[in-house]
Amino acid sequence: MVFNSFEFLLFFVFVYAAYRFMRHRTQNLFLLTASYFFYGSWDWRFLFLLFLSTVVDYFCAQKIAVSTDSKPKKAWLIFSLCVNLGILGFFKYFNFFAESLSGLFVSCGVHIDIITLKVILPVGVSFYTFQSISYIVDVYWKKLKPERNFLDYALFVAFFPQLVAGPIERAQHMIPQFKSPRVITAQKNKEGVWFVYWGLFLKVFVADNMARIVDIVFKQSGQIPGVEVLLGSYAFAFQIFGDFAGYSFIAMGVARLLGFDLLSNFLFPYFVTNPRDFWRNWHISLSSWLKDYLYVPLGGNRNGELKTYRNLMLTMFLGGLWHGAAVTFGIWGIYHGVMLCVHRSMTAVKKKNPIRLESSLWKHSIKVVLMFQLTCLGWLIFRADSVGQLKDMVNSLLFNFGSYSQKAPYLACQILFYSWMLLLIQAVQKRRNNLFPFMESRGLWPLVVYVLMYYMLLFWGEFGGQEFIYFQF
Amino acid sequence: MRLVNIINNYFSVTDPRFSVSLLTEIATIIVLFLILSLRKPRWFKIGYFVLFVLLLRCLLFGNQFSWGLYYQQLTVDEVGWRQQSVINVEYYKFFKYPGKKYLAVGSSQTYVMYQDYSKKHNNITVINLAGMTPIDFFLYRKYITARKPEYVLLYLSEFDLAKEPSLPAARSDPPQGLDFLRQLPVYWELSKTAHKERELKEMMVMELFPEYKYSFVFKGLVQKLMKKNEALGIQSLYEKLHPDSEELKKEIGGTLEQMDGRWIKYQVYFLREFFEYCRDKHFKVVIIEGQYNPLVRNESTARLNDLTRVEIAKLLKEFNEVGYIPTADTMPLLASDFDDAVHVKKESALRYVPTLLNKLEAMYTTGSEKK
Repeated sequence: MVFNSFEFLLFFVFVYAAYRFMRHRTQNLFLLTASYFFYGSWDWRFLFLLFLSTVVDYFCAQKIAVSTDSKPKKAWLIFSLCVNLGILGFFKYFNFFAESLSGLFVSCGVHIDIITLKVILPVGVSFYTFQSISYIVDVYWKKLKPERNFLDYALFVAFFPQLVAGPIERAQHMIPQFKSPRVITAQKNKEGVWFVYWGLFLKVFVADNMARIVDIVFKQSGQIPGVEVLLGSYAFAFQIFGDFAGYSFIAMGVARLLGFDLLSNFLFPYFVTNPRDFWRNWHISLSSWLKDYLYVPLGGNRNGELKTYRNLMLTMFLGGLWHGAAVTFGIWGIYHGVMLCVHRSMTAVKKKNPIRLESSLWKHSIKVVLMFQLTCLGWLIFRADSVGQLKDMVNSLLFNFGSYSQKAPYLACQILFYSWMLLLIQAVQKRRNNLFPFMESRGLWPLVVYVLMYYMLLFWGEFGGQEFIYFQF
Repeated sequence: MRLVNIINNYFSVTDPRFSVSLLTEIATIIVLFLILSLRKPRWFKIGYFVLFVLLLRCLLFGNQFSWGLYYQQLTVDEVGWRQQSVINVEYYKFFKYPGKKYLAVGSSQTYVMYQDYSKKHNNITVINLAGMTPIDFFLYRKYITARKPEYVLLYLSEFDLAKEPSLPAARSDPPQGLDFLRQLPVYWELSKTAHKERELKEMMVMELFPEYKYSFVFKGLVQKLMKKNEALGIQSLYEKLHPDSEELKKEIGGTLEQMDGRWIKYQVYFLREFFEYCRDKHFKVVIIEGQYNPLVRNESTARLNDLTRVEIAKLLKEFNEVGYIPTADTMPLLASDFDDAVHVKKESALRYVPTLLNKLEAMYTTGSEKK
C-alpha cells in the first residue's frame, strides 16, 4: 500500500475519520493497529520481524536502565544491536556477501558452493532498525529514559506515516508527542494538506515521469553519446529527489493531519554550494543519524585532521552501503566521503589564508550549478546497474561527449518540462527559508500555482501507484 | 468583418445548447467568485481554488474550440487509435445535427463499412471509436441519442460480443456520474475476471477528476511539441498498421485468439442497458449481424457465433422494438471483400451498405420488423 495508491487514500480516509472521534489513549491503540495493518499489507509475515525488533528493544532498554553495573548494561546493548543488525544484515546483505565470496573463490580458481537464499527484503527494514538502534543507544548513553509504556514504544517503531521510508525518527522527538493529547489546529491541517499535495506532486509528476527518461538512458548499453549520460544523470537527480522527498513530505503531511510533527528530511539539496550543505539538506534524518551514532562515536573531528578524514570516509562508505548490497552504493559513499574531505581541507586552507571575495548572486549561482554537477556525478554512480555500466558511462562522458545524439534535445526538453515547477517552488522555499512558501502569501499567484500543480498532476502525472525507490533500501 | 464571419460560421455549425450551457457555467463561476470575494468566508481560498479549476475545465473541455484544436493537432501517432477517435467524437459532439435517418455506431469495422457511403449520401452518419463494443455503446449512450437518428445501427458479431469489455479503453469514455455507482458491481466483477482492478480504480478516480480522463490529450500535445516519435525513432502507427502489414495481422490475430465466451454475458449486460436507455428515449435500434473474413473462421468462432446468436435472440424477445438483420438477409461478404481479418474493402462496403439500407427500408415500411 504505497502513498500514491487508491488503497492508501481509502485507508487514510478511514483512519482519519475514525481517529478524529477517539480519545487520546484509544487514538494510540488505533494508530498502532492501523500501522500494523499498513505494514502487513505488503507481507504479513514481516509483521513478526517488526514485532520482534520492538519487543527486544523495549525489554533491552528496561534492562539497561535498571542495570547499575556497566557489564550487564553493555551486554544488553550488544544483544539488542546484534538482533537489530542481525535482521538487517541477514535480510539485506546475506546474498550479496555469499555471492561475492563465491565469486572471490572462483577468481582464485577454487569452486565452492556457498548457500544463497532467496531472501526477500522486508520493506522499510533499514529505517525501523536504525530508529530502534538510536533508541537503545540513547538509553545506554542516558540521553533518554526508557519508555515504560509498551504501546507508546511500539507506536514509535511502527508509526505508519514514516514506517517504511522514514524520516528516521528519534524517540526524544516522537514519544512525547504520543504521550500528550493531540492538538489538531486549522494551521496544522493546512500545513498537512500542503505537504501531502507537494509530496504527491513530487512523486507523481516529477519522479515517475523522470523515471521514464532515466530508463531510456540507462537501458542502453555500450558507448552512448556522453550528452545522453549527462541528461540521464540530471533526470535521475530529479527522479530520486522527487521520489524520496515526495515520500517524506507525504509522510510529514499525513502525520501532521493526525497531529504529529515529523523531522524534516529534505530541504533544498540542489540549491547548495558545497557537499557539507548538501548533506544538511538531503536525507537529513539519515545523515544526522550517521553523524550522531557513527561519526561522533568514531571520534568525529576530535582527534586530528587525518582521523577526521578517516571517520568521514568510513561514515560515508557505510552510509552508502546502508542503501543496499551493491558495489556501486559503496563507491557512491566513498565519492561523497572524498568530496566532504576535499571540502573540509579547502575550508581549512581558506581559513588560514582568508581571501575576501565579494559575494554576488552570479558567483553563488555558479557555485550552485557546479555543486549540482558534482551531485549528478554521484547519482550516476548510484544509479548504474553495475560497475561495468558505470565505466561505460564515465567513458562516454569523458571521450564521447560531443557525438551526435538524436535523443538529446527531446530528453533535455522533457527534463525541463518535468522539473521547472519543482525548481521554481524550491527556489521560493529557499528564498523565504520556509517549506510553506505560499501559506501567508496574498494575491492571486499562490492560487495560480496550486491550480497549475493540480492540472500538471492530472494531465501528466503517472498514477500507476509506482513504488518508491527508497522502499528497496 | 472577419470576426462577424467567424461568429456567423460558429453559430451555423454549433449546437446553440452547448454555447448557452458554456456561457451559463462561466457566468455562474464569475458570480460565485464575486460572492466569495465580497463575503470572504473562512474557506474562501478553497472556494477560489475550486472555481478556478472549474473555469479551466470549461475552457479546456467544455467548448468546441478546444476540442477542435486537439482534433487538428493530434494524430494517432501522438495519442493512439482509441484516444484519437475519442477526440473525434468529443469534437463532433458540439455540432448541430439535423437528425439523419440512420446512425451507425461501432468500431473501426463500422467506420470502414459506412464512412465512404455516408460522405456521398445524406441519410446516414457514423459514430465510431477504435475497439468500440457494447460497454462503449452504453457509456456513450447520450452522445448517440444526441444525434437524433431514427435508427441506430449496430454492426455486431461474436467478434464484438466475445471480446473483453475493455476497462482500459472505457477510462476515456465520458464520465457517468451517479450511473457509475449503479454499474459499479458489474465493473467490479468484470475487473476481477479481466484482472483489470487497477483500471477500475482509475475509472473511479476519473469520475471525481474528469480532467484525468483526457490526460492523453495533453500528454500527446507535449510529445508532439517535443517531437518524441522522431527523437526515439518510433514508427508511425499508420505505417506500422497498414492493411498489408504483418503488425496488423498479428494484432487482429491476437484479438481473434482472445475471443472468449465468458465475455458475452458482460457485453450482453451493457447491450441490455443500452437498449433500455434507447427504449426510454424512444430510439429504434437495429442489430445487423456483423461479418468478418471467412478465412479466419474456425470451430471456435463458430461455437462463439452460436452462443452470440442465442444471446441476441434472448435480447430480441425482451426488447420487441429492437430490429435484427442476420447475415443471410444482407450481402454475404467473401474473403476477397476484406482488407484483413475484419475490415472490409471500400468498394465492397459501397456495395454492401445500399443493400442493407434497402432491406431496412423494406423492413420498416412493410412492418416486418422482426425476423
